[in-house]
Amino acid sequence: MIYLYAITGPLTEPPEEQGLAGAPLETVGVGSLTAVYSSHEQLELRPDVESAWAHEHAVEAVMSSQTVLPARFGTTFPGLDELRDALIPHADALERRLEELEGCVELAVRIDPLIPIDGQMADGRQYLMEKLFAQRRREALAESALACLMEFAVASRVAPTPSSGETVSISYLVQTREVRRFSRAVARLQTRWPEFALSCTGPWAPYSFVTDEPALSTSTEAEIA
Amino acid sequence: MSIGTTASDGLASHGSRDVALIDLVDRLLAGGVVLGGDITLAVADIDLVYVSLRALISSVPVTGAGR
Repeated sequence: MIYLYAITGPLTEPPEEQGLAGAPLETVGVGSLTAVYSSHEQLELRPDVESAWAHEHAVEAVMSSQTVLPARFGTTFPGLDELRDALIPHADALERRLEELEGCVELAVRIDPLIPIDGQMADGRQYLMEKLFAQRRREALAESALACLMEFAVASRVAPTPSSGETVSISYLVQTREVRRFSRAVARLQTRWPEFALSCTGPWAPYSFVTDEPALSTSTEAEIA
Repeated sequence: MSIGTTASDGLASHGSRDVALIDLVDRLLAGGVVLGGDITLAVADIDLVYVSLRALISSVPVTGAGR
């Protein structure tokens, strides 16, 4: 079985990093693309912390030297032939996307309300009002953050991700040279909005930008058309 | 192109490693290229990841995640 980590441009040697279950990374060229994968006799893929970081480390190993399109977690093929067959119809779109993403990384911004609404509040009406007010403040901050951080970004996507809950989660595509300025802008936003906790993690591979779908897409499907 | 820092180094991060894990899982499960291979994770598995992540999130002191 083949587990796919990433697609990239020409790559002469596999990165020296271990993949899932400690398997070495391997590469196969398809036209001008290279698929980075690991081979497994048997792989029982568990969605746990170790597997998540193993996938990420493999992606980062490629990203350290060139532009990369990370694969969706859990993408497997019975063998190399099937991987090639799946890759070929998308090759043009993937090559184009790799060019467009050159020099860019993804930064993840998360906006959490610091003061949780008290569920024990006696008055149901007051609870709802508080909740509505908090929601409006969060939306205002998200809008302000979007506008202010876009100064340092190429593109952005607001993700209604399953883990979000009360959190607003925004992905930014940022040129590598702008990462520090972007990061400082998040710190400034945090000072301006003390009632929220802002976090900024990355640089990630461009997981949220593997297709050129318009920003603010509510779709969680990242299928290449 | 050379990128000096990566997410797992956390050098550009304002969040804790737990926040980075949540951001990573969001991206792994909803982002990335889908080539029409088998996505071996069942929906139930994905729900399970998020249930355990929520437990993690609630144990993260969010005040510390700001900087």
